[in-house]
Amino acid sequence: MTKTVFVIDDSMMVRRQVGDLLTNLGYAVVEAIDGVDALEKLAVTKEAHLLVCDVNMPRMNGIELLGCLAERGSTVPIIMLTTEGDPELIARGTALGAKGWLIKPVKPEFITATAKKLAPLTE
Amino acid sequence: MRIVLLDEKRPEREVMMRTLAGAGYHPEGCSDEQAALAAISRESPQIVVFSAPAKGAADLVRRLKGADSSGQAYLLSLVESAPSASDLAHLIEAGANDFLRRPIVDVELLERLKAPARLVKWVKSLTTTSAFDLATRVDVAQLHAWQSLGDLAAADLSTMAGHPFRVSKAWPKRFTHHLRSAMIPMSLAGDELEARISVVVDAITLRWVKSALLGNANASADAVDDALRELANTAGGAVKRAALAENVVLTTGIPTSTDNASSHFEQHSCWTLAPEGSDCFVAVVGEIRQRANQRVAASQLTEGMVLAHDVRNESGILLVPAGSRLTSTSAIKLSALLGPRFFLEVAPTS
Repeated sequence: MTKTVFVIDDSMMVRRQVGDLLTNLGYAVVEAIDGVDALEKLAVTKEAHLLVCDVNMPRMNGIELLGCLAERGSTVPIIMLTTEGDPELIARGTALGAKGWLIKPVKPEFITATAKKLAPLTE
Repeated sequence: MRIVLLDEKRPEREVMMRTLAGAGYHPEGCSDEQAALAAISRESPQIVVFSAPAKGAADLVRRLKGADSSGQAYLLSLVESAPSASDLAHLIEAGANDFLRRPIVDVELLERLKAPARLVKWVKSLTTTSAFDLATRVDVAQLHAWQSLGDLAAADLSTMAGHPFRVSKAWPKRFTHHLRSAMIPMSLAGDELEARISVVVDAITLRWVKSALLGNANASADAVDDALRELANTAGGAVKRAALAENVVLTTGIPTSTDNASSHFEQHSCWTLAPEGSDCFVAVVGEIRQRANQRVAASQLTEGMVLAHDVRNESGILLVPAGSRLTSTSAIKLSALLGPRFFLEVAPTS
């Protein structure tokens, strides 16, 4: 069964690179340019199985998005993909439900392995 | 820096031992697991490099971590040339921090160890009692992180592009005109300061950006600008993480791209990054300027402003820490919470 991954990043290059990687694995990918855009697209998407999310974005950043989703009781796993490495920020993200924290630039294999673990594709 | 190297393949182990020792590390080679566990327990190494067996690799990782009483050793796994995604996932889940594919190339091994070396320094800094103090003026220009901007940017850019860069501390001598750049603003919590990191390319380098980073020689100008912004973002992130090792918290904003003349940049700290095997250059520029903070009503908070002080509610509970860069979401929330009669000191938007 195809699973849907949201790639949320204000960089088109990152969205394309991560999106292409996941599409080639068999995932359906939805791109969002920030937290506001992600919330709007999540509201009209039937199922999301994984969110790959940047931290620093305009309008609504990744931490704020985590907070919004936590308030709504969302159970979709979220991994952060960011240049941020501040332990306090990581702790905040983890407390708000982030399942992983990948620091850019990241090797594609890490994204692949994480996606397969959190949103396994069935044959 | 102490490294325990577990590799049953003697020729490979000996080559790596020479490479590591030649680079200034203090490696201890082990031919079997028991010797490695004993060495880890005895030496508390900062890094453990180990050969992952075809079966039971995750269990080995757990045993290696179990022998590390400090709990801070960085585990780099040597894997065969084409490991499966599930094997890698098991390694990561068990606690391995990174992996390196065989055959082992000495340059790649040393590059991979730069990241844990920085991490070790960072973790060490977290255990020291000195902390960033708003009352103590910090000279960002004197931070090792800031002075190493070119090297930090080159390390991350190498990962993005897939090959190394040569670094020199100067503005590129052979830059053509028609420069394009992207800039990321940075702030120091509470200080009236703006630090800017710019990534600058010329027309020749633009072609390299299209082919090496975007994989499309016909990429649009928008796509190129977006790639430059991501490069600036990456350089800013690298500096920010390195500054943490010096107990200094910098915040970064959203990068912007612009056309700029070279004369503007040459006045500041410049590095030239040259991709190996290419005749183009990427310039990385660091600029620090002091500027006055502003006092604004909470109702006038806008995206991009940086809070100069902690914001607390009437009970003294911290709502937003000093140094936070506002998004429109947080600006609207704070405005609604505090009302028009509440004033805050902020660094204005860039």
